[in-house]
Amino acid sequence: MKATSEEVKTSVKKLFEDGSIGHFIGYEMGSDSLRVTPCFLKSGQAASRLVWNPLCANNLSKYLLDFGKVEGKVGIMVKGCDSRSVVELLKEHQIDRDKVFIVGVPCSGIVDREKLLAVLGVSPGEVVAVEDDGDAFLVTIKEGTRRVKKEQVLRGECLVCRYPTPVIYDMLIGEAVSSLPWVGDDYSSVKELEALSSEEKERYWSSELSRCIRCYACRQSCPGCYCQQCFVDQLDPHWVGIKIAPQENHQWNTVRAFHLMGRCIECGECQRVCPVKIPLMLLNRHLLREVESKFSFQPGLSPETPPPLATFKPDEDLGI
Amino acid sequence: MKPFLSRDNLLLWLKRLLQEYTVIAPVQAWDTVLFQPVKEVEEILLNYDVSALSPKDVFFPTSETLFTFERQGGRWEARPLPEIKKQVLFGLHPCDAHGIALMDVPFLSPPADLHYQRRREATTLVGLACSRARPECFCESVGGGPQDPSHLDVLLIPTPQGYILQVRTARGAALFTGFNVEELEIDNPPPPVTTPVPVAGITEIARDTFNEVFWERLADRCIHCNLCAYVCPCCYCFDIRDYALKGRVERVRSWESCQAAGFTRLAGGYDPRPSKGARLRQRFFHKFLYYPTQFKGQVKCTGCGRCVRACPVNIDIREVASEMQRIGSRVARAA
Amino acid sequence: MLPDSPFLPLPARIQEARDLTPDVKLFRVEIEDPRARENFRHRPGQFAFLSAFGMGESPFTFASYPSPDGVLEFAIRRVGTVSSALHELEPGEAVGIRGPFGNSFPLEEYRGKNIIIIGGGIGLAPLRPVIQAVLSHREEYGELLVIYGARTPADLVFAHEFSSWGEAPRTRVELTVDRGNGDWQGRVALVPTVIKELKPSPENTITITCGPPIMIRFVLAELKALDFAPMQIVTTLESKMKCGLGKCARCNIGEKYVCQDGPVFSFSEISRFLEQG
Repeated sequence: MKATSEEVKTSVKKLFEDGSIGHFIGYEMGSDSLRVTPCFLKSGQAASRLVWNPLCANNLSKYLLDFGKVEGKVGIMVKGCDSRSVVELLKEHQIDRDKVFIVGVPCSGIVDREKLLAVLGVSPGEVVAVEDDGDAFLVTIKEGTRRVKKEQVLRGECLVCRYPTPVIYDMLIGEAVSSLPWVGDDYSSVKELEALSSEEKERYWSSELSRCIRCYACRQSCPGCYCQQCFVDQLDPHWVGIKIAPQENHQWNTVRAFHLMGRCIECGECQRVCPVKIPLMLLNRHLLREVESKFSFQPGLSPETPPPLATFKPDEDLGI
Repeated sequence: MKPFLSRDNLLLWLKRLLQEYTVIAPVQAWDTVLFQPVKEVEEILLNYDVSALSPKDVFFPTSETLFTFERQGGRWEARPLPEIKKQVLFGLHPCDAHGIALMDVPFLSPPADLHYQRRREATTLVGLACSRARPECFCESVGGGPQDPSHLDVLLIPTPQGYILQVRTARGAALFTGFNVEELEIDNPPPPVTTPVPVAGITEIARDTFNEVFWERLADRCIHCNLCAYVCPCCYCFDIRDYALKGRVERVRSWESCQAAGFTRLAGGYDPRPSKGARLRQRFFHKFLYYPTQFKGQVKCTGCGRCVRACPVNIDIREVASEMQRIGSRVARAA
Repeated sequence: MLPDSPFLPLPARIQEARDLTPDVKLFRVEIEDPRARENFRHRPGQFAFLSAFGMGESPFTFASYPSPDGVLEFAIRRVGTVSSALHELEPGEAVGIRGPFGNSFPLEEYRGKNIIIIGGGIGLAPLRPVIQAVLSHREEYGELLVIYGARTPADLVFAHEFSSWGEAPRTRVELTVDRGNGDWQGRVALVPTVIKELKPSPENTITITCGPPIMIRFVLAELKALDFAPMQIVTTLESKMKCGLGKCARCNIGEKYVCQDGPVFSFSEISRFLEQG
């Protein structure tokens, strides 16, 4: 059985009542029927605001960093991808395992709002609800319901998701999902890019990165980016600075991708929030593939496994 | 009878423009629509809903070199600024023209910002009325409208047969010298309707909401991504920094956002605005109270809806305005 | 043709750079062009942007009353990238200056009144032009009391001028430090404590204060206890400022722009700000 909003509300209310948590980070409906917004609860009564549906795109795990000093445990709702960020934050000692109560929810795909509106040809005002229905989404609109095949309207990252069920949790709401039927060779788009010549790649990335306006929304939404002072904000040494020009844009995006190498857990928030739709995940996943092939390592699966790029073994074969 | 351009004539006119002017227009860029200089008329999107970014960067670039200083004989000499060629900003919707007018006030009030002023004086604005309203649009609630010609040199209103032409200024008329424009008996199409948002009177009640805990609660979800300020057609905070290169220094101005942590932090560490709630409140207060007070004018918002669409955590200016009005009424009743 | 931009700094030179304390230097800056130098008229309380070319610009309040030779003085603490870059410069090196910006202390309104200057640390720097103004027009003002303190004796700025100030008629200089050292013979107390001790009268008096935020807080409390009204207490606000022109909106505090409506404010104005910066 898939988790419902009702189950989430009841479970979270109980967690407050039995003292397991003092705070909860979840989702509630936003400013229209196709928007969901992060929700911060301090009591069980407010749990009636919570929802769980295919619109719950945000990766909430980064908010855990704001709760370091509060009294009581912080509960958090995580999908498969989000749970992997929690693993990384634990691994990197940014949060305490015994201060967090992880409520895992297996996820069978999140809707891309714009794609859905385009396929349905309706406005958000006409939509009442979106529910998961196996290989499709059931969209209730004013005139009735429409069934839309998932692959048409899924978020990009969901099309290649390998971990639909949270890999770490204190409570799981809903049945675990072992794999998603539409996921095939998860690196096909990356391989396509890798097969291009150097000149073609240079042209491709110059064109894509020329749109970057250095808003840093990618960094702000990424749970792996939590440095007190980002290299790009440093004045002394002046690595990149404020100039928005091709060279600086290249530097920003590629260095950030390198900083995430072996740490990016493919939640895709960076690409979701990018206002000019730069295909950031192509870059991140290319580097992920490198780490996977060279170290047989995937980030975000176990808090105990040390990250290969931050570990050095004297007897390691570096292949040089 | 109204001046009118069939679609074919519009394309002809644009081709002619391209020979004389740099034309910046909405184009398809990957999955979004952006304003960019075009080489061919075919690149121009004539039927777009909304661009991801506003065209404010035509006058206020994401980053620009204000000056290049060169070291000469122990002194730093400023090089003359490069020329700005005459250009046409084509296809902007009335909300974006309104945004430019809102930015004109701080930038052009004395002492005028030369860098903005040069670009502004070199540009003719040819707008495109809206055939559809997006769900997030509320231009009518801030004194604008989908067919509002204000602040434009020329407005084109799309109809099934072509474009009704409204030439508003001499500068706009100059674009049509020697070009035959037909006349047609045609009614303006009914404009799309936007959902009302209670912005009227918000400047008067804003003060009463200042100490509400609402701001801290709202700010809990803000991730300081700067998107609201960057996609906005009338936000204009900027930063200035020097780039030291060999023998020369570039003084660069770039966009900044009051939502960035450290925006008000002083050298030495003291920050008068350290809390997230205070920063978030600053954004809305600047739009609804400080800007109208400083410049004795309208609120600094065009109802374009970009911030609503862009915010990753759904902080919605429409909900904020409603809540501020609600608090304002409550305070007024209690008084 | 030079661009006629309000962001373009005037070429200037460092005439002299002298250590006042371990981290504060007094810079004497001379605008290169004689006509520009003559036309540059600043008033006590205003500020200017100094450019360390290659590092950037930062705002600094004038630390001197306008002098006939047109040389401008700034007391700059080494605390950030621009101030550090300025500290590295030698006399004769080129800098840029943009200004003067902001409002100023309304000295005409203070005529005939008693003036109390309360400074902490580098906060004495923006107050020095007022002291100089009063001393150079001594008859126009009532009594002058300067209460000034710093963390340690080595941190007192303009120490070499205190005795000449104290020698002027109807003028008193009361110094203090938070922590003394072996040589220090003077008072060891926090500035607010000195106010409490001296019990100045609010009668026909204006006080002007500048120093670390925490000092200001306690100074205000002491002055209130002595019945000083908020409009009798004036200060100069420090804000992060970038353009000085009321455009970049960085110094926007409440409904005010520090670079235009300030940096000089009375506390009755400040209490009406929405935001208490």
